[in-house]
Amino acid sequence: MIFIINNNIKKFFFLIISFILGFSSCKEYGCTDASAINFNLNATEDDGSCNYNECLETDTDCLEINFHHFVDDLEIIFGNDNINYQNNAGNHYSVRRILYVLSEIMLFFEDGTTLLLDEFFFINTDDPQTLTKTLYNLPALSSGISFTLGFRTKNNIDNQYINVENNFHSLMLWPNTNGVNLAFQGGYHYMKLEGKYLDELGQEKFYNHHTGPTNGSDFSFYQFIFNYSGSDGFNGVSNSISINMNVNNFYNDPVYDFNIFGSGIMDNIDAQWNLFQNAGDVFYVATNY
Amino acid sequence: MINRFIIFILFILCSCNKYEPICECINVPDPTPMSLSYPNNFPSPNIPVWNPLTEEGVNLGRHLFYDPILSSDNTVSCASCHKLTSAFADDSQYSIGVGQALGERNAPTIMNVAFQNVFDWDGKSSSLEQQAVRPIFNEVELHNNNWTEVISRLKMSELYSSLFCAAFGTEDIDSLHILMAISQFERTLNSFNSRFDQWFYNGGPYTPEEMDGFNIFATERGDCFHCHPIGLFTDNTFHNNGLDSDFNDLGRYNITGNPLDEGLFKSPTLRNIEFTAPYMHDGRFNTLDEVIEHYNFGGYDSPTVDPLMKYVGKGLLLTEQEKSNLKAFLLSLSDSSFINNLEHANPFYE
Ligand code: HEC
Ligand code: HEC
Repeated sequence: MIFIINNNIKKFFFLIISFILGFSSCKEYGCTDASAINFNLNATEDDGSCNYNECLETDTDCLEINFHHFVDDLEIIFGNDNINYQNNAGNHYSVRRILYVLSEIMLFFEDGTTLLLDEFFFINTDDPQTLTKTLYNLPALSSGISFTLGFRTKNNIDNQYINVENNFHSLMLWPNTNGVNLAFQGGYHYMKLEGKYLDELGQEKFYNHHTGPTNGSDFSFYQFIFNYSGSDGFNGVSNSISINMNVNNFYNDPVYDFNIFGSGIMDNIDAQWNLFQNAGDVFYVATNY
Repeated sequence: MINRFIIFILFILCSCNKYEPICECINVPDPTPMSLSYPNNFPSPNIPVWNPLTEEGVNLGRHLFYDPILSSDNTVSCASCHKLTSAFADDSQYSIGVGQALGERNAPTIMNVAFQNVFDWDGKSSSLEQQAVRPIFNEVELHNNNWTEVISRLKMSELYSSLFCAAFGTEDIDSLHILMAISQFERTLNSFNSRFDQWFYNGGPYTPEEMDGFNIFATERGDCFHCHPIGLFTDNTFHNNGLDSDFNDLGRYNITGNPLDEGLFKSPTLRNIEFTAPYMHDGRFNTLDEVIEHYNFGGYDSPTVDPLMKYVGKGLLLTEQEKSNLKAFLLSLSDSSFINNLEHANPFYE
């Protein structure tokens, strides 16, 4: 039944297009494919200029970034009951979902230039759309990237990202309790990492490792830097990279014991501080071919 | 009846003679644009560029919403199940459609839908224009068989000729414009003037009990805000909040086929929750006390229960006082100016 709407819209466009075709006597060249980003409604002849927002293997002005999530060498299989992972404290756990923010994203290029992106990245393992980002019209092949996990205080303002796509605001807001509870002064979570673990008695419990601006403090991790220009075992510059997270590294050093910090940690400064200290090595970057 | 007959004759006449002046909808003034106001913790409304709000469009939509003419036997309207006094939800567990047919889910509120982009308990609709098609043809709702019968009933009405003419500059009623008008009306059903809002934004009065209830709600003490975030009080997405360990209704799974979605439903808004009883997709709870008891108990475990329900198996362990404070907070989300707003009311009783 939805087609009823679509048909009408199509009719509408058809009318417009036939109008244009009917009344313009000369040919106009351009991209005539409506699925391209530079589709030209006025064009009557296709001139091969259609651009489809794809990063082809040989393109040097774009960068595709994929996000992958691991526990050590294993790519995570998301689900409450997959309690097959283990950290340094000996906790057995599963991962149901991970949502996080990367901000202050800076790209480095082969030609020595850099670019600070206006937007931040929101990654949500429940939403496949957020697991790939493609950037276009770059000056050259990228040779490195740097970013912050979460938002630094100056960028973490209540309601600031209310219209960001992929339901960002609803999923990531950190409550503003209007002064009722000082742990919750508004802004946004940096990360929501959730799943089950087995407690001391072997019973299943949920954990919500939500990091953010507890008490209005800044626990964002500034700043990861990766240079993949050929040194350090990387394959060299590329237009396709993976940013990989090893969840286990959140728990290693200092040791983070799920039993000590319990299920929820949003108002727990010690837990936030522990995860912050651990964050330095949770990401690594790989170039793809 | 005679009236309708005359219009019918006129209608036949005009369809034969396009130049009959009486049926021309010409030289009508452009409809008056309308804008929505909303607080700064609401996102921008989702208004398609091809369906801007106008006063005339909203007025037409309001008539269609309240008029049983949209049902196959002229007995049921949208408002039969989405009642103003229930903040546009239904006070019966399952709603009664044409021929006394019973549906299988509790009718949710259609408040603040302008600010949302997934509709129905399982999110099967992604725009209001698309959503409105379902009740028109659903056999337990308005039970029409095709657009032709709906349109021909409307075309026989003098009222709708003039309302369509004013709203869209045409008397040629079609399905698209019916859906557009209903959606425009729905986009005006907005509520953000509760005691909570008055306190939160304007420093109005708020009791210590309400504040404590809010503290339970908006922190991990009770942890309601992750799924019902402050602002719209819905996170526009789907969760299993531990109502059952086996599911009668698979909810979101029916749409996505993803096993992780079994038993997930859209988090409903909690604004005007006082008026929208009974609660949950199947209307299983009659009172807020029962709802609070459910969360206080912690919910039932199942493979898809949401990790945000982190008190499954443990319970929230709220004291009687804390439960009553949480309830006081929920009741502070009531906006009586919303359910008493005459612009939302049945236009046929004016
Ligand atoms: C017989 C009762 C009934 C009638 C009549 C009815 N509805 Fe509904 N409505 C429901 C039920 C039940 C649902 C939930 C359906 C589901 O989740 O599968 C619903 C859902 C909705 C929603 C989704 C709200 C949300 O927040 O997700 C909207 C919007 C809506 N109806 C609008 C309308 C309109 C417009 C009409 C008239 C054209 C209408 N309804 C007629 C019972 C009814
Ligand atoms: C994991 C997400 C989640 C959490 C946490 C959560 N809810 Fe809900 N809530 C839901 C969902 C989903 C529904 C609808 C469930 C259904 O009908 O199957 C719901 C329904 C409700 C309803 C009924 C609304 C209606 O119109 O039928 C109320 C009231 C409610 N929740 C209050 C609360 C309170 C109070 C808390 C905290 C103690 C809370 N919720 C915590 C997701 C959640």
